[in-house]
Amino acid sequence: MQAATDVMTAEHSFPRQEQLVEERLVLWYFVAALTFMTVSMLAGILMGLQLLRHNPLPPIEVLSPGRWRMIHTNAIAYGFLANAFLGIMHWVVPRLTLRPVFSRPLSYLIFFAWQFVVLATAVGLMFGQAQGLEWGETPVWIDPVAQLGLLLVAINFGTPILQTRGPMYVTLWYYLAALVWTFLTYAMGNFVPEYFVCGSSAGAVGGLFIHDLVGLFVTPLGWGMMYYFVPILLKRPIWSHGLSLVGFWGLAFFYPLQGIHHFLYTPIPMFLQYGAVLSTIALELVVVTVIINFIGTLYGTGGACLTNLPLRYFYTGILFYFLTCLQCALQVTMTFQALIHFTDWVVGHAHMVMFGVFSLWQLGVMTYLIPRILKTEWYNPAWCEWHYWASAGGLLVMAGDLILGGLFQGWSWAALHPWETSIHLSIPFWSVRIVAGLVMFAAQLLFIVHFYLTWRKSLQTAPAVVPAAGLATA
Amino acid sequence: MESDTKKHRTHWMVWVFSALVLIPTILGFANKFLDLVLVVQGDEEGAFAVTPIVNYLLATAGFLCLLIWTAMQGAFENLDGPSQTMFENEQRLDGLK
Repeated sequence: MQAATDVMTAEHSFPRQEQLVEERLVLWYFVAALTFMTVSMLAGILMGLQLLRHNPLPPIEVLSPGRWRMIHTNAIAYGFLANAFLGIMHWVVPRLTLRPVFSRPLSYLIFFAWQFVVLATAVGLMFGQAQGLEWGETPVWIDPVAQLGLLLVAINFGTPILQTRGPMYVTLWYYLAALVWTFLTYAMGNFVPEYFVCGSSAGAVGGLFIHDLVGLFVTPLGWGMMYYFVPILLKRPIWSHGLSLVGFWGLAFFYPLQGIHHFLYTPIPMFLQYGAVLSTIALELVVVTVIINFIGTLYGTGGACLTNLPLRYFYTGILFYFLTCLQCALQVTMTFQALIHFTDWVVGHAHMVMFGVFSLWQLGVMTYLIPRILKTEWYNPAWCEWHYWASAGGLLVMAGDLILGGLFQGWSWAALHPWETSIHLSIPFWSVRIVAGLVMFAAQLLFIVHFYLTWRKSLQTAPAVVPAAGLATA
Repeated sequence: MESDTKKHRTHWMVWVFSALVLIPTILGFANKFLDLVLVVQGDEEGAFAVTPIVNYLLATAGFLCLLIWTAMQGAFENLDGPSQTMFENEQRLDGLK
């Protein structure tokens, strides 16, 4: 009798989902993320058309391709990825810590402030106020606002994480580190080269910033997310939590040194360049630990990643992640770098990382969470399949095409052909890229329409219990 | 018996990869530190390289402190415990709906 009472008391004191997660805010972040993704992809298509000499925009300064290109990169990093990560963290952190975020009103304030930051950045870029650092083009007057926003984000999510007692799950390690790293990385890239150092030193800091933005902001948030969602969808704990911690600490010690591999063959001292090369190759070992862990978790589940759509997104992203890291370990060697530097190989690599890995993961999480939050099934599950195949397939074609095109460009330059020759040989590759980009863009538009129709459906139907296992298509 | 074997295998992998990750890290770190000392001592033209190295040293020092603090908190005493707890909590959260 006493035992039964204890169980009931424990169940009573165990927090409920509505006490922990502000589900409406998660959806709002997804809407914002998809909106900025549309803007970013539209800008990418315009840039792709510009390369094919079919720019549809009038030749005025505000709409010049160079500015659209910056909107393409900034909107995907700060508009799509950051918004989606923030929405997903609003789901994951409270459920893992069993505590709500520090303040729900603060969460709403951050939401609106972040949209202001991204929109203001876009407007500033179009009116020519960009800073001269890739990914750090954010106009100088926005930087303090963004920095303050990142501090508030760290406080809001860091509080429940730091209140956790006992050993922490690896996701919380990644998230806690990402909150600190992102704040520091943003400050390093947006303030140090602007106000404190110049010349080669600014270049070296810029290199650290560019790569740390991927490795210390996007990567820990992405892997933290995967360590949470994959075990849940597979209904089994991660294969080795110890191995996952090796991956985390390996990232922490190796990654900050890598950035200068973007500036090989520059006036930056060679020992720094070699340091970046070695740490990049060494990080491949860390990546292998992570990949082994996820394969080990999947092993024996009977092909669950083929039949469960969110899982298929996740493992597709993991495959692309392995490929990009392998590619990275090769392309940072001085010999290989001499061939592919400044070519479309790098563009293909960047797309494989940003879309093939992190965007696919986020789209997989959205595919899983949206019906759970709306408490209804997807309006048409077959459209989710179309979305997956067009996104993943389009990306595969685009990245493969650009990587191959980059090799041809590099060989052309190495053979000392006239510059125009490399332009002519690039046209077929750029044409394939625009087709693949249009397929990917169409897939995201379908997803947005599908999201809207599912939301409409949720208003018209009584709440249904959507299985926590995700969208199975077997 | 089977779970014992699996536990042993997991442990073995963790130690091997820990060594593979930590040894190059320590060597790389020592090498960078030596370079920093040499640059500061003599090469005035290369002095600007101090900025990224100091950045890295600061970041690494932070991680080192965090690692020591974590070990002192007992985070590495039960390596697979947190994943089991997380999994059970998730099932309870979904079961309470």
